[in-house]
Amino acid sequence: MLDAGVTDVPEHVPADLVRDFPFKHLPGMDTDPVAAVNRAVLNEPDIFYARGARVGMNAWVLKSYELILEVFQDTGTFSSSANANFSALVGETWRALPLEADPPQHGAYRAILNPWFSPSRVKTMGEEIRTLAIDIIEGFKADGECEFVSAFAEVFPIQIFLRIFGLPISEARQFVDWNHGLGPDRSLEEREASARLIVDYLRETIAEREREPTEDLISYVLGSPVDGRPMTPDEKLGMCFLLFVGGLDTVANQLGFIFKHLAEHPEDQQKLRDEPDLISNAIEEFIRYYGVVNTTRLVMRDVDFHGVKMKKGDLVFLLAALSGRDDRKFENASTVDFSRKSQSHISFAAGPHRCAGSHLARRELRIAIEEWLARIPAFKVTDGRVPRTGLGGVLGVFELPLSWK
Amino acid sequence: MRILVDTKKCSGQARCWTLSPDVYHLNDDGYNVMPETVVPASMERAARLGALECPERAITILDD
Repeated sequence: MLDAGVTDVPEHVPADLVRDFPFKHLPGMDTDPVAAVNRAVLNEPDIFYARGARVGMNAWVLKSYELILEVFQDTGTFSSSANANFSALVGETWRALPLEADPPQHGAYRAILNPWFSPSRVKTMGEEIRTLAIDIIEGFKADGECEFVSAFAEVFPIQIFLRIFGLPISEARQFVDWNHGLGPDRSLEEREASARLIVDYLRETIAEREREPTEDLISYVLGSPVDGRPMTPDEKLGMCFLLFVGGLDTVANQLGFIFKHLAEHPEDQQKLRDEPDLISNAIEEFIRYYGVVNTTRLVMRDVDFHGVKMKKGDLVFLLAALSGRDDRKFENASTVDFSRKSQSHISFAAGPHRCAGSHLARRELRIAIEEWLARIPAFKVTDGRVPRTGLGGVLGVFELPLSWK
Repeated sequence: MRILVDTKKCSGQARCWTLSPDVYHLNDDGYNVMPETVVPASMERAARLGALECPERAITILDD
């Protein structure tokens, strides 16, 4: 069953490469989305044309780590300009930045964010992040149970992010709801309404910060020149919008998959309790194994891509869920191995758009695991309850009831 | 031995530094901007480990 409005297959696409790919409705999306995606492509060629891969759109899907890496690195052929198209939801034309810019312009916007999210900067945030994790965990520890997503996954990373960005933590729930409303799983009306709420809120905040700058990231962005000139209002909004959506559901859902895994695999949970030195590598393994982000590239010129004719205007859909499970790159790719030596996953993408938040994400994940294991005894999925997963803006864990003694 | 880094390819994944911080150094933004470094043979293992892990394949080791 495909979404209404899926366009016809263009002439240059050979019929034998076309597959129906109803991403949202793939069998198993509600229990194990990464496995569902991999099962769906199991017998497909490395490059196939997926009808319905994105809402109302068709795109080439690449199964192989090598091909996905190549697309990420070839920014001349594969542009990021068609990635999110948020502005279209409010009838405007600004680009989410740096996401939807290509080199060479991309570098100037990216350079503004880099110092805020560098490994050394993130290291200085460690204590604050840990204090927050502890506060949240201690808040529900005595209950012996919690719904992980609403109690932790959607609270912890979001509060950290809002503090950095400069938005009020009291509004966190509202921001999360607005962000959910943008997801490809929602109706167009809801997506438009959510985008409007976010854009209006950000414009108001931008005006406030321009009147009275603070030490937050928003103020820093607004005051940063691009190519030696002040940013335009569209550039300011584009950067703020990207930061707003970028920080909200990625780490939350990565946490969801990690803790679902630990709850459902007590031997893995115990291993990390017994050998906490494994945690750092376990996090890389989880990011490889449970790749949550899906991103899109626009083909900029007619090209023969490894024997497949792609035409200017085609879309290419890149899934971390696929790059991370390619057994040509990762031996026993469908096994979680905390001692795995090779961790060159590209779940944070590759090339110039490599996730700016990757180091912050890693630190949050590590601190979350460390403090959970230190403070909460062996936890499992609550008896009689079933975790719920699916597709939002990223592959997601929607509900994860956990219990412990 | 020499470590060659294609600094245009470096995207700040920071795997090289994470695995072998004695060998690989990043700038304040978290990028490897050193196109060529000479390291003693004693650091060979660490150098190779960091190089292999770079998802961008930006690092080459030369035995000389």
